[in-house]
Amino acid sequence: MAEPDTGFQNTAWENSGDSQTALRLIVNEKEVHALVPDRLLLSDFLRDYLGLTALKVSCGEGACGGCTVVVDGEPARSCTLLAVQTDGSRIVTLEGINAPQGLNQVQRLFQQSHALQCGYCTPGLLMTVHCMMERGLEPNSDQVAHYLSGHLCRCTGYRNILTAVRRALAGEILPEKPEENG
Amino acid sequence: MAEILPPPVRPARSYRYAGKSIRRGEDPDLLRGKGGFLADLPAPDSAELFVVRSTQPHAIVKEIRTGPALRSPGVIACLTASDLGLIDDALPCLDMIPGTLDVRQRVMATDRVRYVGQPIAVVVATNRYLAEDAAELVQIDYETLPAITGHLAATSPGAPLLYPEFGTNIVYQTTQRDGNPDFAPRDGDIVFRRRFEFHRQTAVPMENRGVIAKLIDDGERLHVESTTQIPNTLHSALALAFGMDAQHIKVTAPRLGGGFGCKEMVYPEEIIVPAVVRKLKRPIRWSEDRREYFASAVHGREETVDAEAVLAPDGEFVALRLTGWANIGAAFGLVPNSPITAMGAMVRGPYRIPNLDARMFSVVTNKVPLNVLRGAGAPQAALLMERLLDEAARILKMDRAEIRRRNLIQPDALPLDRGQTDFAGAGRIIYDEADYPRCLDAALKLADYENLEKERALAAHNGKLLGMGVSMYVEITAVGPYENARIRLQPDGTVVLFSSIVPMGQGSETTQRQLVAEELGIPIEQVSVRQGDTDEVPDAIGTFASRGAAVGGAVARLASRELIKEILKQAGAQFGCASDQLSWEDGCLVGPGIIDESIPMSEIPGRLASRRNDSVPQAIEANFRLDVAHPSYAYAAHIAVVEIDPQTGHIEIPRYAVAHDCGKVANPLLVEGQIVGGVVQGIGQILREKLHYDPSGYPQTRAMMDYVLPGCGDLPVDFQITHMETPTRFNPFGMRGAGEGGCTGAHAAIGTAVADALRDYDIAVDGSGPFTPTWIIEALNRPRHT
Amino acid sequence: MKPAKFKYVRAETADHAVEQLCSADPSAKILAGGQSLIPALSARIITTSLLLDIMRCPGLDAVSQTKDQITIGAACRQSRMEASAIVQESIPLLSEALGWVAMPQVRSRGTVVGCLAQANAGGEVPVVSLALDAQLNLLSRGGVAQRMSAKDVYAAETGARLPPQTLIASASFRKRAANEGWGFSEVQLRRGHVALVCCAATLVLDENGRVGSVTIAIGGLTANPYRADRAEKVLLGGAAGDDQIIGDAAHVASDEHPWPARTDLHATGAFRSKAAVAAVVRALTDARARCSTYQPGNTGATNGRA
Repeated sequence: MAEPDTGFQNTAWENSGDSQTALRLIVNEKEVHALVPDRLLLSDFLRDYLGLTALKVSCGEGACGGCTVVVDGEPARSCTLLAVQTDGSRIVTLEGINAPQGLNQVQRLFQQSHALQCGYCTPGLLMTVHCMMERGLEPNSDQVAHYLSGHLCRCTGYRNILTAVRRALAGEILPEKPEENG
Repeated sequence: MAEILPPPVRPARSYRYAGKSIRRGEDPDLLRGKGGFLADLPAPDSAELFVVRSTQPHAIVKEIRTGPALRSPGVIACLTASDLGLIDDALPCLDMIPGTLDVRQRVMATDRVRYVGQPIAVVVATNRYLAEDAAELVQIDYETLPAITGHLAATSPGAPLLYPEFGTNIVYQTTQRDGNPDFAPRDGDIVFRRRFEFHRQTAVPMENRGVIAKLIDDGERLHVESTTQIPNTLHSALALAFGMDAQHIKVTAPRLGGGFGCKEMVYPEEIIVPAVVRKLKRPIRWSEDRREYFASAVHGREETVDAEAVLAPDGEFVALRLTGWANIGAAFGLVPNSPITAMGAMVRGPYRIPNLDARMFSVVTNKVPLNVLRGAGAPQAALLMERLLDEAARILKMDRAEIRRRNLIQPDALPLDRGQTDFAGAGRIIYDEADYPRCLDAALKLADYENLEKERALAAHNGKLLGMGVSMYVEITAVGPYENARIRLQPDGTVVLFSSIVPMGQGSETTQRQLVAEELGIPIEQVSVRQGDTDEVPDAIGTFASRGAAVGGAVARLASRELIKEILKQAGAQFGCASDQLSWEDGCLVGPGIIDESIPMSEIPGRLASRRNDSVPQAIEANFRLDVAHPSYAYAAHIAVVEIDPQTGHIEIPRYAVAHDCGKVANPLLVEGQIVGGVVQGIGQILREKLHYDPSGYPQTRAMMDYVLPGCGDLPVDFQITHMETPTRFNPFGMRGAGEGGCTGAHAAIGTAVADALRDYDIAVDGSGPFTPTWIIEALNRPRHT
Repeated sequence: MKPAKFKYVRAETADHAVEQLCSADPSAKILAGGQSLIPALSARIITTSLLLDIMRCPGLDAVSQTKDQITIGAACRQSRMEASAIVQESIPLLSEALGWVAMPQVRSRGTVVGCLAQANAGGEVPVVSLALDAQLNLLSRGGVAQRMSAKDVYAAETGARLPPQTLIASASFRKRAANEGWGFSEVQLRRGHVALVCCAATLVLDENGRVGSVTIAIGGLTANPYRADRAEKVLLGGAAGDDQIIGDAAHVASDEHPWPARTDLHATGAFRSKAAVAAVVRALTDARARCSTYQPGNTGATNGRA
């Protein structure tokens, strides 16, 4: 087995007396080994140790959805998980579903529909939408609102988000450049 | 940052972007998770700062013992107020008028704390976990003082005083008068009085606050990055706090994850973090968490207003008298007195009401400081006015739309001077051109007002109480006093706008790029915007009062015109002709007889360089300062249909209609987004959101689950918006602001709709609730007056 | 909002977890999904010296059944149980109630047994456990197993009354009888937020449409859920199709709360009491509709409004 990665800011924990546990998991298809403090939240592990800063910590208690990632195929809050709990898991973050360049289809629909304003809630939301797409939810089913009820947005009022998500679930494909009007 | 494509060889047509629903160039970064928010910015080698906050609402601080905390693992420092080395520790307040008592907040508490959450000490450690561990070890001895939370109670004799040296808790007062303020009712006039209560709310942007500070340029300068809507104001405040030359300080605001007014503030942490950097000579970061946000970020809206209305028997409102008190918390925020001032200034909205006498007061209490929150007092004012109109209609047995029509200012009476005001940035309130009656009628039609009674009867048949709220508002937007912009044609042929407008979701980058590209006649892809940097725009006002597009966009356009002038001037020098022999057409420099072919913008630096026999192209720069003599006044009609289930107290909003006028619209898609977002935020605020304090001054609303924000199920099922575009003389491009009105309209429309639904029940719906299921059920079950 | 220090151990077996619990100080806790525990630790509302992660213990993620019961292991996640064919078929009341627990993004990690242990006010799984007379299967030191009824676990006003240093290894729920109807209803301020009140009910009718057996459990009105014993007695033998009878029973059920009705930031006790009546009516009405022997119009008034 390879040496565990030391991760960022390991020196920040020096002499803290924190017990640490080895962690081995797959993040965005890459194997990660680390030795981390037991109390390190998964959100901090992903953001600070692995530099995956797309997910946002907003409420810190699992209520708002901003920190949502995919763990073993299901959307989950990274702020209510310890990193050490995810040993052996497969985690996908927004960085893992981004196209190499530009936007994927869901993201293009979000842009076209003006489904984001400040963009802070967007990365977490896109992970839930990713799962909804994988599960083949029907665009007009009440499951759509049910999944999206796990996300709070303070800017958009949700209307354009619902539009974008329904269009994505309906399989709409947009051309490369967004249309100006309509 | 927009993706910059190589420019076309020759532009074939003019590029027109103003008024179009251009999709946002900032979206790709945001959608890919590369938004560059403060929490995402690299802060190498920075230590983490954590604020130790008062656990007492009102107390003398006898002693602070930091020893145990200092010995905690990972701790670098544990500091109190006297360690900060501040020359001036008062945080700025921008709406203190003559006679205002100075209750500006101090950066950190010294001998006295006045609210739970007030900063008392800070811990600096190698990471946030260890800083929180150490903070628990800081020991503070308090001598408890009696606390006061109610603003009316705080004005009673014998109430505990927050600032005994002043002898009172009333710290600010202003009057707003028009016509004959002493108007006495005539025979036959109807007089009635109501008291309105507006509850305490908070903005809850999805992004919490944060500050990163470090020394740069070999320690010569201090760089402060903060989640601020007003980097230039913070910049001045820092210079004052440290007694430093402003040039030695640089403030940058990255993109914000929402602001809504709670980041239009100079916070203690924004001074503390840089102070600690100066002291420890190392970079420091502070990241607010959500519990801290509820404990210490500014609050909004809490007021009580007594209103007396005088009506003629035909329904004309002839006079309005108000006395209002704002609960501004323990000390001044940045603009704490503005909401209550706005009550007097804007309560009449689009209604004539020639005689006005409003006296407004700010009262300190042992709560978190109050500041502006989206709408800045207009939500309360509009709700109050619309409820008075509905009451008048009920008394006179008039149709509610009719009584409004009777009182609306007619288009030919505008512009109309409504009087001088103390509202910061407004000066003399002069309503600009508008068509209020047409706006109201458009909304009534959209909302199917004609069939309201049929709809009501049908709902009643199904056991539901249906109501419709009809409301209008006029709001102060696009305030001055001025704004600056710089614009540069880069050596590579692209154009950069340096703007003071901080993006916080309103799409300012795209709006400004559209307007600059339109003005210059070039493809939008060639334009980028840099914002929020005091080095780049040293003298600016900032992002609030819905001024981003109207003022920020206007100054961007005018700066673009200056750039063209500068290009013509420099080209004239290079081509050896008078600049008026050259001109600008379709994004190109043209000069018949002087220049063979038109030169597109992107090629100009290169061409001018080669004329100089210089291999290195130079930038060409221009700037513009737009002085804004008058704000412009956006207005709208909002109509909400609510359906109340009297068994459960649950309120549905099946229908919502808006007719909206924000003048010339730069980007309709973005404006509509602001309206929908503002309305849903207003729905949350009036149906559920409330900050609770117990009577001893302890906040009860401490975390996200405590404060019930609207979710996707709260969007009105049928939501329609129609636009009017009446240009305003107060903006060079006829633009008015659009960012806040949704919130204002929603308060007024839903507050009045709930009252209408409950009209048969003799329930006083005088205020902003919130109209939770408990509120509804308790109201329905209260004993009735006979 | 970062947790204070603690040690984390991945328990190898259920017995190992119990062993660790016994040798640790009383603040040591079992960690399953952590969806209540981790936020409380982050807010430093609670602290712990030791978290024992049981999610990898062999056998704890099993769902087993006997003729009469389904037993759900401590490591079974809410989302998996919500979607499980066995649960949907044999304990549909639980499957339906799970759809109301928090949000899908929390149910992906939280466990059914974890809800029972946490005893959050308004918790859906504890309410169902009372309505179904569930048994909690506990493991203590030395492999000693014991059972506790949900009724005993929630006998006090707050909290799950469990013996110290035990692990809830699984929970057993009785299977739905062939002609048994079930209903679950909840009142929330916003979808995905907490339950202000909720109600779980089961109903069996005889061939005349009269109530043969009924269970009603109410959550959220008080901190811990309770069985509405008096309401159940009122209903027994009554004409299930008579909405008046259902409504009266609902009032009795709401009124018989054994502890004070809860007032908090979200609602008053008085509101919850009233809302509980409506919740009980809805749950009973749904249960009635699902009874295979129920035929509307056969047994009394059929005014279907809650």
